[in-house]
Amino acid sequence: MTVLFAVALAAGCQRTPEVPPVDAVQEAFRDGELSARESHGRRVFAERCATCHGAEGRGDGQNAYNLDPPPPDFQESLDALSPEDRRRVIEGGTAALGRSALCPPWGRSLDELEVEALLAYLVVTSRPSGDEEETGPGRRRWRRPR
Amino acid sequence: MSEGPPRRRVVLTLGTAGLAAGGLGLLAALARSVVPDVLYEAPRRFPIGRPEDYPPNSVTLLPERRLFVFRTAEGFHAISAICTHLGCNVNHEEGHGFVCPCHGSTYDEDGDVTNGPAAWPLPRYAMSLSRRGELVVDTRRTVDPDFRLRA
Amino acid sequence: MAVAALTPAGKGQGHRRAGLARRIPARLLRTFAVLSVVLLAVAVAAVVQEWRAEWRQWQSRFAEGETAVHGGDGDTEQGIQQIWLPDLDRVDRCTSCHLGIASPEMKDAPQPFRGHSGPWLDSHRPDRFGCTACHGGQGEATTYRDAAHQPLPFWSEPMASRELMEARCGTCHQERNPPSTYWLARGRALMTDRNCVACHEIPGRDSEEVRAPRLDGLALKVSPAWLRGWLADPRGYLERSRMGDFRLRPEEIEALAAFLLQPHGVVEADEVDWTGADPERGGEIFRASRCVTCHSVNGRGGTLAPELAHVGAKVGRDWLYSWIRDPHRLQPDTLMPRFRFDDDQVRDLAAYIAEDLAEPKGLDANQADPDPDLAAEGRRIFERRGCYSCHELEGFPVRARIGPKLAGEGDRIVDPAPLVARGIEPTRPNWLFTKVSGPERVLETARMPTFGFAEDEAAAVSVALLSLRAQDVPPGRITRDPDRPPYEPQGEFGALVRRYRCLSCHQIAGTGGTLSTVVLDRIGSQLRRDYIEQFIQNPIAVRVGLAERMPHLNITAEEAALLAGYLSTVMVDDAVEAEVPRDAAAVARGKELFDRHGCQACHIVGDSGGFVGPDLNGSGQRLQPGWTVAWLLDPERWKPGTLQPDHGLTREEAEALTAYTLSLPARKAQVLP
Ligand code: FES
Repeated sequence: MTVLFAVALAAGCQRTPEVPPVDAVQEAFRDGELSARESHGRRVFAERCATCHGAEGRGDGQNAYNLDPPPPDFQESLDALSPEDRRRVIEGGTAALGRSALCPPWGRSLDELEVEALLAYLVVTSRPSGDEEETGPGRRRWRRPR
Repeated sequence: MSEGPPRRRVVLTLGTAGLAAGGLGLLAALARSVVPDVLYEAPRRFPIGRPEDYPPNSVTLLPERRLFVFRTAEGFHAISAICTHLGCNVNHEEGHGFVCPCHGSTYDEDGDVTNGPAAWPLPRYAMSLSRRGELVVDTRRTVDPDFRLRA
Repeated sequence: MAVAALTPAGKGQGHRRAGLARRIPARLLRTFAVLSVVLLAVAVAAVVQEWRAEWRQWQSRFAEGETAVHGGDGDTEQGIQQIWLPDLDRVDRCTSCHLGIASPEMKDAPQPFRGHSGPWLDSHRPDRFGCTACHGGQGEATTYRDAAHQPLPFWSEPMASRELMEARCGTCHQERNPPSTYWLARGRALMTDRNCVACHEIPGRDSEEVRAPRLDGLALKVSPAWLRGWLADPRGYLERSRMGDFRLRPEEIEALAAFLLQPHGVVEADEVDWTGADPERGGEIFRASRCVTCHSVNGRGGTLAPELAHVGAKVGRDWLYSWIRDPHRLQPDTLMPRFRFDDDQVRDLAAYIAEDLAEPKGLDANQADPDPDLAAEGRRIFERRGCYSCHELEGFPVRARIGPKLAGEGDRIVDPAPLVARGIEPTRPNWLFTKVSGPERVLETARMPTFGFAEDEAAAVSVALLSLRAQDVPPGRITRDPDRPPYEPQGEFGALVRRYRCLSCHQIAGTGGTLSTVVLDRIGSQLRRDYIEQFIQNPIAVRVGLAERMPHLNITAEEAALLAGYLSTVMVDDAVEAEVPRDAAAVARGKELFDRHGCQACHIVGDSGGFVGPDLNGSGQRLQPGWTVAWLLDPERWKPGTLQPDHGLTREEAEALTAYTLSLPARKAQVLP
């Protein structure tokens, strides 16, 4: 009897650990590693900013070469700007920091959510591109913070 | 077992006392369960905005709440706008109190009946000030005609 | 209390009790004592539990915080708070713990006291909308767990994620997509694109048009090889195919092809004399007419019309000739305009397309005509799979909806088995997602085709479907667009608008396509009449960076005069008509503002500037001053999502900028693109 039980237990332990079922639709909403807010920001960025700043914020948009000073590569330049200053540039243009007037003010065209989303995406664009490999393909599942 | 009586007595006393206290407690819980925390109804206690939303010496009708809010030199008070006869909305006439358009009941400024068919005064509800500085009306509590909330 | 009871009371009483104690069997006595104590414990536990309820603890913590910030005196909410919405059949007690939800000053407070983010509570007052109508969850519960903040067994409506919440917006916002609903808007657009409404009755979307070619005369149009390949795998031929893959077996394909290639309807091809056809000249016409505004060639070009790189292998040149000469004769509902070509031009163009754009792709090698005896079986398949829901064909009813009604689709009870088998959590959103990705994945014998949605597209469609709830929405809560009949242009103007299919790209009064960003409603107040007339005949792009440009329709001078006359007298908006002072002082002030705001970053003036906005040289010949002022003052109002920033100009500043812009001279030679 004991032997039988032990065998059964061993067999039970050997079974591959069960994979938790995936929440397929939430996985599909995810835009790579971006959060919902970041991918919203990416859409706003593509619509309003990418013509000059480039889709990834590398300063290589199609209109970039017409600008003097040219738009910066966010990977190098963004760290120098505090989050408050980033917001000021988005809402009031570069002129708000006393720089050239080439980056226009978007404060009256974007709503609060879009600005927040844009700020979130800016952080993504300034991350060195090597980072993705380090974090690996592990995907966060959607969870509401407790 | 051999020690017998004293220990048995302790156990019996303990049992009786426990039964009595527990029974009382359950009875209290039972009584409490008859009084519901909430009912399926619109909230009876609700904020109506900040004091500065009401101009001094004014009467304001809140149509959704069916309520008159008075602001006088002495403070705030609130009187229901629902006629106690058959529930029409009463009108406020400056200096003449309230008049019901349906069957002609009239009430004085304090909401007391001056003319039928209504038999009861318009209820005067308790008011308070929330910590965030909002006026709060509690329609579960009625107050005396001379109640005034100072804000 | 219990200890007090243990101390012996009167002596006589003690004796009596001792006697009683001695008479009861020891076991019974012990059991009695234990049970009594348990009873007491239960009573105490009940009181403690009630007194320490989750919501009570949060409320006292909230009150402490409030006292710290707002001072001691004053009243806070006490007891269970609830929002009662009889018309929605909902009772939400969330505010018993989420006590700061309606206070903007609590925006950064920790949960559960955090104020609601975003602008939504302004338009959706909590006392009128509650919480769970938008967020899901169990509103009557008063604990974190029971409120279904996380999925809860046996509660089918857990709180929705940010994306799935958009479905709940769509339940009331049935026609127009509210702002910041990316997934809902995308899902609805995809459902329109794939003609869902052809087979399904969908609440709120019933008036949508179904777009699919009429199949009469198909034998004159396509080759048998193409038809076989197409039926087997539409996306193999056309990546953006709007028709789904019906997962037909080879014998079904053969039968369906046999049926479709039978003569149907009265369609005749034109007689063409191909001697002297010049494909090279055809190629020039193809480029000059800007066919790629709508069509793509090898993936480059517009997305409104089909890819053309392989079309020569699909259709014959005779059919192409008839088609280009008058598309409206063959397909009355097509979006394609009838270009004003002469017969030689049509011939050369058809020759060019048939010869140069004929690289075969995704086609069946079998060119033989299918066996006509199979046609009867093909007809049955045509009926069973509801092909006629989208495609018109002589002898079949128009738009017979063979699919189930989609009202209540978002609340459908689903069979979890196919999802469990695939390792997917068997929730309703996941079920819809799986079904939309491939109907055969949830039901082997499904009749619905596989549309080949990408994952994110399938998720978007799921959101749109989830918005269709079973419970009727109270009519007062549904937002609808005011009933506006589709705009139908009349008279000579109307005939031209239909011939050139202006409304395939432009919009008038909400009717028409969105390919062009130029809405025609007030075009007469925006542009000068002579410029409109000239532009219609020879559309030169004013915006260098924009890929889509108006095709050369070869509109004649008389037609252009008529169109321009109508547009500039009827399509006007008095609100933007205004006189603007344009003296030298205003121009100088405008120039200063132009530099200060960095306008040149996007606009070309002289020889330098950016490529984002229109070239401003010579804009005085183009733009009306009143409109320019209105545009500068509030661009977002006229074109939501525009790249023209709102600089917050005063009227005086906008007028000065207008004076300056309109004073810019045209460049010497306009370079034709
Ligand atoms: S309801 Fe007011 S008098 Fe009858």
